[in-house]
Parts: sequence; C-alpha cells; structure tokens
Amino acid sequence: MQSEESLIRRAQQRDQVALTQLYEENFDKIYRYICIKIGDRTEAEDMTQQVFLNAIQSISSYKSKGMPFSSWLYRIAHNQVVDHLRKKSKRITVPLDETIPFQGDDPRRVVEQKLAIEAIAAAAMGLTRAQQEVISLRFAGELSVAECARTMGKSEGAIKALQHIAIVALRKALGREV
Amino acid sequence: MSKARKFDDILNECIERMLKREPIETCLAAFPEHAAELEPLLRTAMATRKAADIQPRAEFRQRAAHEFQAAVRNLKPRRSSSLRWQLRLVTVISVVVIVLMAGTGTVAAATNSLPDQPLYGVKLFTENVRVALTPSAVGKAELYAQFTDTRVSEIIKMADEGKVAEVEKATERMNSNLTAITRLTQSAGDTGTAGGTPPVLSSASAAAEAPPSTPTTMPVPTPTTISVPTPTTMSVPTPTIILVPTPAPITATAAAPNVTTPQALPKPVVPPPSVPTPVPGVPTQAPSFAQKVTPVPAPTPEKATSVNATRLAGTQKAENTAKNNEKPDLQTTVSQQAQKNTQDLEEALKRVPDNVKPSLQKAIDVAGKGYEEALKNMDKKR
Repeated sequence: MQSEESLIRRAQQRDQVALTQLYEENFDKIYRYICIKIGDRTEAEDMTQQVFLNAIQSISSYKSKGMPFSSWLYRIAHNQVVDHLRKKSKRITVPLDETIPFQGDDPRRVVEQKLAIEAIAAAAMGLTRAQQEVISLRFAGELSVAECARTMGKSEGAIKALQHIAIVALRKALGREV
Repeated sequence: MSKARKFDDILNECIERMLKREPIETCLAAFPEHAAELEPLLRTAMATRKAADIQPRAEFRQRAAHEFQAAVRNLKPRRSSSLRWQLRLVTVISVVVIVLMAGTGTVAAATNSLPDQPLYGVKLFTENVRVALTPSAVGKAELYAQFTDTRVSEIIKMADEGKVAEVEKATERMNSNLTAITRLTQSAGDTGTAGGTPPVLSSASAAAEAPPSTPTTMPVPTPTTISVPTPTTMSVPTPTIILVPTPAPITATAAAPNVTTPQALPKPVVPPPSVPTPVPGVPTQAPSFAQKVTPVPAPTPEKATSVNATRLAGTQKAENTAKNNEKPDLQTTVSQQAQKNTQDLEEALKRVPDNVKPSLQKAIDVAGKGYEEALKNMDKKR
C-alpha cells in the first residue's frame, strides 16, 4: 500500500511513468468490470478508455482514505456504466461487435465468450444494484471481500451475504444452465 | 455464528480458492456436509468468472495505450504545493494593491471633476462618505460649508461654459449644502454639551457653551436663607426652573453670593425630574448647557456680555480659547465664504453668456439666502 501511495503521489505530480504504471496495473480489470456490466465488448473498450482519460484529469483531487486506488477507478467506471445504460435506454442501438469481427483471436472462443458475457450481463440485470456490483467487483475486478467492502462502504459480512444471494439469483436467471 | 453466516463464509472460502484456479472438487471435498448446496453455486460462480475472464483486444489495447500516453504528455506539469501557495499569495496581494491604487486614483481624480464629467458621481459619493464618517454635528456643518464652496466653484465653471442645466443642478446641491449647515448648527446648539466635547460654533457661543466656572452648583433659595445665584445661572433662566413671578433681571453687579434676602425671591417651582428638589444647604447640580440654551431667547447685549464674561472664566474658558486660536470657528468660516462666494458669483454674472445669466442670478439669490439663514441661525446661538 505504501508503494501504491508513493506511486499515486508521483502520478498526482503528473509523473508520466507513475501514471503509466497505474494504467497498466488497472486497465484489464476495469475493462472486464465494464464488460460484465454492459455485456458489450466494443462499448466497453470506449468506456474503459474514457475512464482512464477522466482519471488523469482528476487524479490531483484523489484522496486515498485507506481504499485501494482501483476503488476510485471502479467508481469512475461505475458512474460511466450508469450514464451509458441511461442513455442506451433512450435509443435503439446495434452493438458494433456484431458487425465487426474480432481479429487475432480464435473465432469460436470469441463467440462463446461473447455469448457467455451477454448471458451473464443479461442475467445480472435481474439483480439488485448492490448484488450486481459485488459480482462485477469480485469476478471481473478480482477484488477481495475486504476490498469490496471498503469500495462499497459495507461490512465484509454484508458483502459475503450479498455474494451468496447474487450467485443464487444469477443461477436462477441463467436457468440452471450452469 | 448463525448457520447462514457460516455458509456465507464457506461459500466465500470456496470462491477464493476457485479464483486461485483451484478445482471445485477440492472445495467440495473440504466441506462434504455442504457439498450438495455448494456445488451449483460454485459452478455458477465459475461460469461467471470464465465469462469475465476476457482480455482486451490487442488493437484496442495498443490504441488505448497510445491515446493515454498522448493525454499524459498533454498534461502540464504541476507546480509544487509551496510554489502554488506563493503564487496565490502574490496574486492576492497584487489584486489588493491594484484595487487600492485604482480606488485611490479614482477618488483623487474625482476630486477635481465637474458636474458634466463621468467621475462627478464619485466625487459626490466621496463627500457623502466623509459626512457619514464625521461624528459631530459641527464637523458635518464644516464639511457642508466646504462643499458649498466647491459647489460655487462648479457653478461658476459651468456658467462660464454656458451649461445652464449644470448650473441649475449645482445650485440645487449648493442649496442642499446650505440647508444642511443651518440644520446642523441648530442641532449642534440643541445638543451642545449634552455629551462629549462641546462643539465650537463661534467664539461667543463657545464661551456661552462653557459650563460656569463658579458655581458648579446652584445655590438654592430657602424661605429663611437664600443663596443668591451667580449672574450666570440667574441671568440665563433654565427651562426647567420656573420662577413665579419672574424676578427682576439680575445683572453682574447685582450678583453677590450668600446674601440673605428672605423676601427678595419667590419660592421656585421645580418640576421633576429635570432638577432635583432643592435641599437647604445641599448644592444642586447646575443645569446643562442644552437645558440652558435651547429655549432661551437671545439675551440682551448687556446680559450676553455679562454672561460671557462669567462663563469664560476658569479652565474650560482657557481650553475653548485655545481651541479657537487653533482653528477659525464655523461662523467665521461661513461668513467669510458667504462674502467671497457671493462676490465671485456676482463677478461671474458679468462675464457669462446671456443664456446662463438667469440661472446664475438664481444661484446668487440662493447662496445669499442660504448663507443668511445659516449665519442667522448661528447668531442665535450666541
């Protein structure tokens, strides 16, 4: 934590190396977090990029308060997802990843993954916001229960209970396919 | 620990193991009593984990990294905290200095402005502020006298330039200033020594305002023994002590302390609470200047002389005399100004364009009447 604090201090002084290091450490997690929340890889890419651009603009005002730096990034990402879903509910869109094939990866795996993400994202829509957040942070963001608790402002016991209920609800929503 | 809480913990432990790539079966074997309940949940968790276990596309990763680096390069390096504070301090000080300089400069520039100039409003505002910040009535009257002088100068300048409207406006302002002098000298006289330093209206009035040197208390007549008051107290009857019937005027020559004249003076009627009931042998507080002066008609010259002669005695007299030596009194100032300003206005009347002459004549009339009223009012205070 001490090294992260030092890294953040340097990043707040606009140190390019420190900023790049924080970006590298959190980029994949944030991408996954957004992906599992919206179920759309292409839109998740744009949003992930925007999360980091927003972060470097406001990193000088960041205060640790004992929470990991990634908590702050997840909060930015969460706000962006909420904003995105609000806008999306007002317009009909055709997901770009249905028209643009992924290059470089095994197409079969890509399709399977796409379907899995979409299924999880759709099933998660039936969960409460807190349950969705626990699933995203735990399985996409790879945060521990303690980190989730700090990020969401809840006790570890509450996070464990939410996790249990969320998995039961997900299983139900997925039609017991898994 | 409740059963539900216990199961939450077990499920979480299994999920932690699963996230560390441990097979589900290991976990189920570790908790055989919960295996049936755990298994479907762990499989759902595993599916969720697999769905979320995605990597960003290489192209996207490259593009995003490139754009991020570009954004980082465009960031301006932040100054250190102490330097930022120093810069803020310098900025604040600079702003304060600029505002002060601009303010002082504007006021200074406005001092010489004329009614047809943009800064004239600032000039009038400054005058109002000066009046508002002056506590005493006499001080305010002196300021108004000064402003009247300024108004006369403005009238003459505007008249020379043929600006009738400005002459009329300045005349109105001059009239207001003169009215204020009259009003303030009245109030100064009314409240003269009610509290604090007595205002100086003129040498004569200053003497009149000075508290009597002797006695500081008024001897009180009794049916048997009457202490005859000093000329000061008796020649200027107070509004609160009514002598019935009015005694014969007592002049300075008639004044003799402690003369026993049992039938000479009638019993005084003393309405409360202005003056305490007289007690034989106990000196009574002398009436204040305000009590003495306000309702009193102007004394005859002979009486005034005697009054002033008496009141100028003692320490207070010396102080007032010293004060008068330092600074000309208001009446003298106004009197001199009246003479000079009327003269200046009349001289201007001879040379100004014909279209301004009626306005200027009106200004002369207003000045004459205003000064006369003010001086008459001050004269009453003698």
